[in-house]
Amino acid sequence: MTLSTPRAHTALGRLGRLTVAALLTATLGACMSSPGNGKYDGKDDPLPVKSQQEALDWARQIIAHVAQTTGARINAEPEIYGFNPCVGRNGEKAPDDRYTLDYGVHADVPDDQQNDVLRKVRDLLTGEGLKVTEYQEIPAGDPPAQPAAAFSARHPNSQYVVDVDSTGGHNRMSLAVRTPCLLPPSESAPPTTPAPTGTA
Amino acid sequence: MSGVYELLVKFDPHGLRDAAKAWKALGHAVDTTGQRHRNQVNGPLQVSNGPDRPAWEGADATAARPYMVKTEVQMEIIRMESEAAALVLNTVAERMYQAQTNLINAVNRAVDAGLTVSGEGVITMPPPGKGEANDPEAQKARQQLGSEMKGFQDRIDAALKAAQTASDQGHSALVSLSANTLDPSREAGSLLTAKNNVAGIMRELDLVDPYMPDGKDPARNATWWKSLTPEQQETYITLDAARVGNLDGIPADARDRANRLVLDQKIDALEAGSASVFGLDQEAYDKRKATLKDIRTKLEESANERNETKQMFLLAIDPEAYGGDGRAIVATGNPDKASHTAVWVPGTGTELPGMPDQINRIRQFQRTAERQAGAGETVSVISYLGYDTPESIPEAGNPMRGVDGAEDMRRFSNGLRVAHGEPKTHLTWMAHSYGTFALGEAAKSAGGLHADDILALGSPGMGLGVIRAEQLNIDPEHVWIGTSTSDPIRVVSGTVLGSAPHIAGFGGNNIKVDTSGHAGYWTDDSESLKNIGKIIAKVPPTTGPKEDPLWGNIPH
Repeated sequence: MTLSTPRAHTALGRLGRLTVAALLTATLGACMSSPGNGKYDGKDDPLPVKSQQEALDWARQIIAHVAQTTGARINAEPEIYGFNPCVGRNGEKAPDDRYTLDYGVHADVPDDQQNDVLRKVRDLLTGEGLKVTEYQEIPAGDPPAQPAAAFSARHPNSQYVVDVDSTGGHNRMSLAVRTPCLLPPSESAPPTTPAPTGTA
Repeated sequence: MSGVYELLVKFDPHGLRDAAKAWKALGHAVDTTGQRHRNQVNGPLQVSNGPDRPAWEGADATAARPYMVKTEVQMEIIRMESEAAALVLNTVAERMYQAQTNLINAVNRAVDAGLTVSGEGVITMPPPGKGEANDPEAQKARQQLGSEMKGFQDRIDAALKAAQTASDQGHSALVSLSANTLDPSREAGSLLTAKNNVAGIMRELDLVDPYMPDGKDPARNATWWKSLTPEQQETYITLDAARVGNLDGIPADARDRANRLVLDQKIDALEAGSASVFGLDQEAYDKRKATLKDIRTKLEESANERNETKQMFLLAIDPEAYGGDGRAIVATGNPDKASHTAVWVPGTGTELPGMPDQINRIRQFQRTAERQAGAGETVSVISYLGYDTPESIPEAGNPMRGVDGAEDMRRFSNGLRVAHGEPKTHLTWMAHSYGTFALGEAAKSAGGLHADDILALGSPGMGLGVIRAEQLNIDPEHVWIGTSTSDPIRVVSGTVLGSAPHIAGFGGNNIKVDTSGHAGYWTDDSESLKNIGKIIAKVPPTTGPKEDPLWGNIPH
């Protein structure tokens, strides 16, 4: 289940959302909470409930927030995202259509500014309570043949992961969000934004 | 015979060829319509493609689906039978034209020799000349002419017989094609009947193609395929789908088309048959039928995808392989055109029923790699269930499954290289558990897999006698090992299936793994998964130290 959407179609919507992104960020963890008000902090807790569209909107908001704060310019390449069935470590499946979402975009960032982006995203997300699980700057000195900046951080409650990495080639980074298992509402909620159109 | 002689002399192959062309056009039109039905109607309605494109559900959907499936089957039957009719007509035209050529040559040679050929094709000697009876030289020449006459007559008779045979075979073949297979009241088995009809026609016409390669050499397969016209390729895809679908080295889209036809034929045969017909118990029979249907439904998830990098390609399907465990190879993204191609070899316990989950996994790998790949680069990931995976942990101690699968794996890899051509794709072979052993067995011998990178996750060892990464026919710096600190494979790694690759001394690089257990390496939100994507995309992954063999399980 892989989908991609031309960035141009969603650029205006994203800009609009940027203005509320900061406010949303403070509540992102809450968005991911369990169906009640309980904190999602254990494997036996109820799964967060979100429709696929809500999860997608949420991931877009996180990435827009990260991009705006770090100055990474999201480029016009298609979004890359997909919904995966949520499968247990030993292949267990539940009949409730639980799923995960991985979502990413690309940003044009000169090689010599990628470490700066990494530091900014680290400061931003640690300030918001996320735990950095991977942090690797491009070594100082001669420009490498292939820059390999790498960053991942996990939200302690919501368990979503934010990734910022150098990509193959130069002057470009990948910004991504990966979610834990989510549970769709029992009745399919209608999309909250116009449907993604087109393909890469 | 006189009528035949006259008919053959006047024979014009254009009539048959034009008729064949018309059948071909019908087959092509039905094929196009069938694909549109599959890609734009049935496929999108059957599967959910995101929040805005849910599957069609409810009572109407339940009632309509069987009808829609039957419609597609009927179009496949028309396509097959149209191709078969065209093949018959073209074959008869070609054989009769050859017979006509032989006939005319023989007649002309006879006339040139001074013989007379009647309107019935009978050769006669010229009357004796005056005084010939008393001329020994003339008698000798006449004797010689008589001998030649017999040879010419034999050639004429052979040509007439060949033409008659071609005509009779064509007649029988065409009669065996029947529109009854389209009877809407038939529940199942019509595709099987059509397939058997076609097989009968091939036998009727002695059309076991001596020129079709045996499949062992991908380069030869590719050369043969390229030598065919598009019409001939279409004929082979339709009428000899199982063989074409297995030919390493030919284009992925051709294999896909052939194998999807094979898949439909297999399902149809199961629907029409019974457990005893297939030599299975009822449970195994039901399971096989359900599995093939699941695979078909899964493949339809990309049915309306116009972007080739998101389409799925069925590169092999054989539910009877490996004693009924089954063989299947599926790609997401066209491997012939991808900048980066990765082949994923699963391990113990992965059999045909697990293919839909394997497809989810390769799509997950593909997206992860696409995010890491350079601008404009494309990624194809292939799930390779192309060896006899062990069913159980005890069976995983048996090295023979990996050993036996090595040659097929090398040939498949070679076929990927051949079908992709220049510039070469960046090719990664990656495997899990026993799959890493099978991969190692293939990589260590006969030139190996020609991979640019190799990734082994949760490996018990990478081949009998493989103690160093450099034995895998690859730069050891491009051998990547991932072993979770809590993976129980550590207990057996380095015992019977080769040295433990995560240990110092083996060489290669240990990637950083943040997941636990034996089957967590691709957990959706893990760093391990991101590293898998980076290796596929030729981006350096994060690494950890090799482990000390003296200290054993040293976390990294």
